Amino acid sequence: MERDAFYKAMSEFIAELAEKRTGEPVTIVIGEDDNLFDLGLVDSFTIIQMIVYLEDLSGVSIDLSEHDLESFYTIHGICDLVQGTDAGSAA
Amino acid sequence: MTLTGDLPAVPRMQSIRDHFAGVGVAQMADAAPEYVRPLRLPLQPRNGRPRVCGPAFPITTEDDMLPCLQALAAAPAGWVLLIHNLTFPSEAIVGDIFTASAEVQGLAGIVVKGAVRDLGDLSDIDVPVFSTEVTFVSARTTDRRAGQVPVPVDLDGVVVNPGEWLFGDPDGFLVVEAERASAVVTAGAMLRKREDGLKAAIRRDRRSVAELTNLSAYLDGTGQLGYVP
Repeated sequence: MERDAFYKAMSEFIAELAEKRTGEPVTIVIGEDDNLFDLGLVDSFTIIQMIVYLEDLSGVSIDLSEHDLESFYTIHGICDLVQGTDAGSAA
Repeated sequence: MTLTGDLPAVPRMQSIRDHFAGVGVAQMADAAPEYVRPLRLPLQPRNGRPRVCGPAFPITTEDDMLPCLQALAAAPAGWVLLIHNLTFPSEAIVGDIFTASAEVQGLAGIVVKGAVRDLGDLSDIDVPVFSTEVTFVSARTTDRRAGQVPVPVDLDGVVVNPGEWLFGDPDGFLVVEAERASAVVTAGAMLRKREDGLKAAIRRDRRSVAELTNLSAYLDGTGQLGYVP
């Protein structure tokens, strides 16, 4: 998936998460380096939804090392991680 | 001959195991409640190894050793042998010789709803052993061969299918569908990292949970309740 398309898909998904939480339509603009946790858009209890979404989107398991965990806080970092995940390594 | 169904492939077995080394079932359940199924059994570690994880290799028996031996022979390295003895109280269906073989075969653990024995000798064996009962009365019957191993087992209303991941630690046991095991343990690791940060802040800065969560402002209606680093 192209990077721009990935950002768009991620932004829409995060808006959906926020809508589920608030029960109201949410319009958000997320910078690629915005910290999703600091902005309250994702938290430790909704991160599983994002991981599952990314796995379904990319078709591979998201495998984070301890070092990678904080990279997951921004769309930029997530995109790097997912695009760096080799589908062959899932076997 | 024992029929062994086609076992599912187990992607990322070592990676999941590595992540679980730094996570508890509590964080996994908190982070991904819709993807975990708690096993509410009084399982106790029997040889001083209180943590286990791996794809489950479930079987049932009725105080008969033959299905247990069939399963031990067929379980692949890295899997957790999950034995449900339908007879209660249970005779001992796992002991030191059985567990020594499991160790040599590379099994990740043995979990028994039923009884085990030889606790003194199990402590020298690296395979974690859990059970709900202990007795020195060994199962001596080898009559009723299992038609197939592994098979789904129903543990007090929680069905565990072959290949689903079993995670256990001193807080309890839970089951996760194989295709979500990596996601769940990763989410648990992220929650653990946040919790570790909170715990470190409490101890390093001598700050209370009330301060770190903005409790006063929340109770006054002037702020949100949440972790304030």
